[in-house]
Amino acid sequence: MSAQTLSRSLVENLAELRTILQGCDDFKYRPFTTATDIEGYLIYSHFLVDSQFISQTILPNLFNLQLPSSSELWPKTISRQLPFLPESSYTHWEDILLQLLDGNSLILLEGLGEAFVAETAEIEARPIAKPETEPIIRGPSEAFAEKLSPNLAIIRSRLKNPQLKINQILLGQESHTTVALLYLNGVIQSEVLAEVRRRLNTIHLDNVQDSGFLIEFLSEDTLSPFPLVQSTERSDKAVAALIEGRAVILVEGSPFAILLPTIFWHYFQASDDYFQNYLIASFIRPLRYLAYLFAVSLPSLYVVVTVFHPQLLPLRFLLSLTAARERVPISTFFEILGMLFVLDIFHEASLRLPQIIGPSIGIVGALIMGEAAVTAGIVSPLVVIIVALTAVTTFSIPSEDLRGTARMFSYFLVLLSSFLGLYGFLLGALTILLHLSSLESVGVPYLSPVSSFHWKEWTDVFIRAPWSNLRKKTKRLPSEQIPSGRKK
Amino acid sequence: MGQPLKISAQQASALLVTLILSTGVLAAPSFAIISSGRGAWLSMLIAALVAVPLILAYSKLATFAPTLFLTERLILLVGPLLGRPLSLGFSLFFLFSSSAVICIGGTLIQIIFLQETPLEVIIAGLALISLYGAWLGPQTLARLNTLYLPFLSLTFLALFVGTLSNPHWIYLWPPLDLGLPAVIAGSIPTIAWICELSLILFMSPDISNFDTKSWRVLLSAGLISGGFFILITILALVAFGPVLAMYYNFPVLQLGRKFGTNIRGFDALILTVWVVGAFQKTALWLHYPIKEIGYIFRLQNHKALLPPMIILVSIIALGAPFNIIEWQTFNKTIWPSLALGTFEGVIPCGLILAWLRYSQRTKAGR
Amino acid sequence: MLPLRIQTASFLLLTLLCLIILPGCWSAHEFNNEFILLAESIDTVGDQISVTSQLLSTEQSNGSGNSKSQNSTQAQPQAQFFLITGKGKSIAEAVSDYRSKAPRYIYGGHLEVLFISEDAAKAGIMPYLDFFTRHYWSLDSVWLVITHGPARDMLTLNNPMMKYVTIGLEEYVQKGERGIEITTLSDFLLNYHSDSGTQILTSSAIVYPKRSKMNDMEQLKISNTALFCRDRLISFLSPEEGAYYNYFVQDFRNTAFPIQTPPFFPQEKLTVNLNGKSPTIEAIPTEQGLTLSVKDTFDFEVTEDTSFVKADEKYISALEESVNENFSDQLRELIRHTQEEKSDVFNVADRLHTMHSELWNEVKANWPEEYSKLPLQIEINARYRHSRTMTSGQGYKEE
Repeated sequence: MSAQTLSRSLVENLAELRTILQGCDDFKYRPFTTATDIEGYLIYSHFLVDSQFISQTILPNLFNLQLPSSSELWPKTISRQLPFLPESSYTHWEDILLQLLDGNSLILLEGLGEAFVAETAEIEARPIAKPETEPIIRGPSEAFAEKLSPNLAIIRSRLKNPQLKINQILLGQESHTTVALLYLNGVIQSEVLAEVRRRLNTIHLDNVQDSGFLIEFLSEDTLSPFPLVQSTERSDKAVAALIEGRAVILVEGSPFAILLPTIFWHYFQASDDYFQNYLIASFIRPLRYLAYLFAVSLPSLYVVVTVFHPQLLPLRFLLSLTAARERVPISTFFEILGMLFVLDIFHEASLRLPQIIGPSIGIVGALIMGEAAVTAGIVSPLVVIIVALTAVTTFSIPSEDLRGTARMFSYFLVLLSSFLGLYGFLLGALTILLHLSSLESVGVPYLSPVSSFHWKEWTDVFIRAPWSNLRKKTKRLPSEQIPSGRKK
Repeated sequence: MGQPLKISAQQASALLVTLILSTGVLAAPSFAIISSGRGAWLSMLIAALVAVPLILAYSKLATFAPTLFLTERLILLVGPLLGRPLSLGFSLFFLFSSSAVICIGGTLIQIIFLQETPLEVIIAGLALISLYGAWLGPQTLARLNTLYLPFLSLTFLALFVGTLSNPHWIYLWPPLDLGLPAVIAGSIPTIAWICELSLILFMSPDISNFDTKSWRVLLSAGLISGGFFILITILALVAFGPVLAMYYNFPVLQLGRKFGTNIRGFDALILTVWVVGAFQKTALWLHYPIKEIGYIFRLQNHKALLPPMIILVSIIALGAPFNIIEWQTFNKTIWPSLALGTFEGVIPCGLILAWLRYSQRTKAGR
Repeated sequence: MLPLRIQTASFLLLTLLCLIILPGCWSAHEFNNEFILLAESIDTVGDQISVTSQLLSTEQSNGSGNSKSQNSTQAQPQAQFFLITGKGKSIAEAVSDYRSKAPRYIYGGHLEVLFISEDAAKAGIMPYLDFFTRHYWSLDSVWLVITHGPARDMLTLNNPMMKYVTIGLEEYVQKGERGIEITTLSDFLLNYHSDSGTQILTSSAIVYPKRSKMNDMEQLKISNTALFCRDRLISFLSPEEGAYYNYFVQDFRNTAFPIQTPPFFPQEKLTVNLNGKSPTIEAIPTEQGLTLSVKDTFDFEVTEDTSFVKADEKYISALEESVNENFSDQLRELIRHTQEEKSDVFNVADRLHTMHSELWNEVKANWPEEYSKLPLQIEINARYRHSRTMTSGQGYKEE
């Protein structure tokens, strides 16, 4: 841009704009003359605007605009006569372009060194739909969509509290994507909020297409596979996070909100738990933890007891196992590893295929390949059962982020167990636990409140206590001072 | 990555309990039973009571200037000429003790779990995990420990319930069967074990709100450990009797092995408890001495010393020329005497006298 | 955690890789590459020890061997195991011998029962047991059984109801009502190191069918009758004495017990069911010195046709008195036998040591002799609590 601000000359402004938008054939330049013979232009991108609103409301009003002789009085007059315009005007080209690219219409007048922007954006987008990655049986089914405004509207309507603050910033030097930071003032800890803001401000990306782009910058500086920020497409979950004192980040163009800080136990809390009887929820939640443990450790424990420590098994079970392994030519380690690999391949294949064909992969994998492998004597039936159980328990983990860690660590533990038996399994498990214990999310220990002795805050960890107990909790996240050194 | 957070007093107490029980729970009963027979439980009780004044001494030495490093505190008490070597000696004492733990631990794992695997591999595994724990620091270890302690408690509760299905209570009496000197002799290794709490002298800068009113932290750790020792000694005696129990190096492990065909693998559970606890012990005994050595020699990054130090400790563990008799003598006589005669007993008592003089001077100075 | 420099991260990764490559899975044994040891027998052959192992392989546990029996003229089912024998001057040599003969690794972590022949037991079993005690597999719960005759024969028992003698024994013990507690290695060691040093171990004998018919099978008869002093077998109790000894070990669990009825009872003998705790036996100081005191209180019910048992104080008192007398007499016989053998199998010594340590110190040097001379005092209190669901039998008629 040759100039930073608008000039009073309409011709100059138009020339500047045509230069900047050269090649952008979607922009229209509509001339108009006001009732007092002042010339002006209405500029907009016809893909992004509500054309009917422009032709039926904006243009007629512009043509009927009565402006006084003194151009200094024009801003006030325009605001009075064109009530659909916001009160503020723009003088900098950078701001004006952003508004234009957002689907708003620009009004330029001869002799006025500022421009007015009418909100005319109407972009076709996917409507509010059911959550696809977090379905539940009972409860609301409003998921976030790609547009930011409806997402913010849902949250506002669910949390009618003036302390709900929404701060918007632009990220992406090329994409100029709007990112909204939401928090409940007075509930969120000031250190946490300051740190989240600081991390957002340090993001220097050219392009931000999804909230996933920001995760790396918002997480602590670590090589950890564990997710240190939580993603959700459920609006009720986002609202619950706000009430807990967490920050929510929404990105234009992404149906997934980011919740932070997050702790390990958050990934086992499903929305269902709060919409049904607390006793049922308290029964189901430990099952999820067990499922995670099984998903991570079952294949490796099978290797441990069959190859290194059969004395851990009862005699009859041992005899059945020996019978099952009789014809298998490969070692247990390769048997398990091979089956896990095949399982993961099928999983990946089913994700990429269209929904019509996807379920067929399950049938091919389970019935045909599993059956054939056992009949051919390549694997033993028990290994097929173990791997199938591992798959089922992996998929019963509520969070997709955590499922990845379960898959990854199951390989790690199988490897260690196959070399050093139970000792190797212990070394691997300790490594994982140590790593988990060392993690923090915006200064909050990842395993809190279990890893500290805050007993009263355990009411929503292993069980879902009744609401009378949950209401008594003033803080859901432990109050840890974020030391200055932790900043990235 | 920045200044680590402090641990709370509760976490510190829990870590210290793990420090003592992790290895003590398997090994300590046998030393008492060998010396005092039926009176082994009395030896444990005496050990717990005798350790109390020593624990209070450690508490005083740790809390009079809790934010200072041990070296700085010793310099305040005995001057720089004596303070620095004393601090260095203290650090080396714990490093040497950790090599003993790694050696015994590795041998035990080899015997029970992996008979054909070379000892070097087992020790390398233990060393690596200890290194990782020491690198991450006490905050991480404290968090992990909160997950570990319930597991330890449940395991021993199950062991307790299982053993009580067929107990022989007659083997607990008379406690002075072999005489009072034998009972007292049986308590000495356990006193040395409980007095590993002297690690608090290194830990105090990492504990939040740690002041002179925090004597309960250490005392509770000592009493809980003492109580545990008494309980497991009773279990060993009622399960095996005084004569058979003295033949087992690890009677508690043997308890898990005699449950029979219905409950298999209980010894694997006990050994799991041991491995997890022992690595925390070696990690703490690696982290704090290295940190102190780093301070003494004014190193910019003391953590760089960790990898070479764990390798050195492992080499010492492998190369120690101990046969089975020497190991027993070392564990029963040499190490307790060395520990109580130096950094766990005599020196802290001497430092208390120095502290009394220091506090008088400080009051007079005011 | 500190950010890792590339060199440091590479160094640690290399170390980890070395650790992974270095082990080579020494302690790993696949099921296809091992035999499972279920039971062992120890016999003496001359001055050598013969150890026979009952082994299972994966092929045979799968029953793939069974197809051969279809063409066999014999009705006996195919054995699901095979035997390997090793000989040597010591147990270690014998075990090493049979291991060298086996083409695969022998996994012994599930060794459930050790049969030791009578001859081997008389010479002392501690050298054998010491080997198993020190083994890294948890073998403390191994059953010890002393056999009448060659121990090896126990492993080849022809009994299709007991697929493996191990499982058969397990079922027998778990049967409850008429099962017995088989002594384990752990129990043996505990009693071996006790003050008395004597104990009763389980013994077994094979009962061969009188006529060899198709469906007749060999029976394994087990009882707690092998009397040991330290680690040597000195004698056997009679089957009746063994049955009474069981009461001391495992309480009365609906235990059938025949008694001689009082004179005015129509039937001469009656069977009663006993329920209650074990008798207590201890040496107590009295005016005459130490006395062996046996006390017991238990309930009983009558099992057979009880039409003649009136709900009458005279009848019930007489019945209770009869049970007291019969039981006391049998107990007296058992205890006298142990006193004759100078074997304190009830471990009275440990109790004396605990309760009266000064007295124990006086007698401990010569305890077997002292035990054999102790006067006996028996107090039995049997109570006829009920006669099952009816207070008296049907068809009872007043005389």
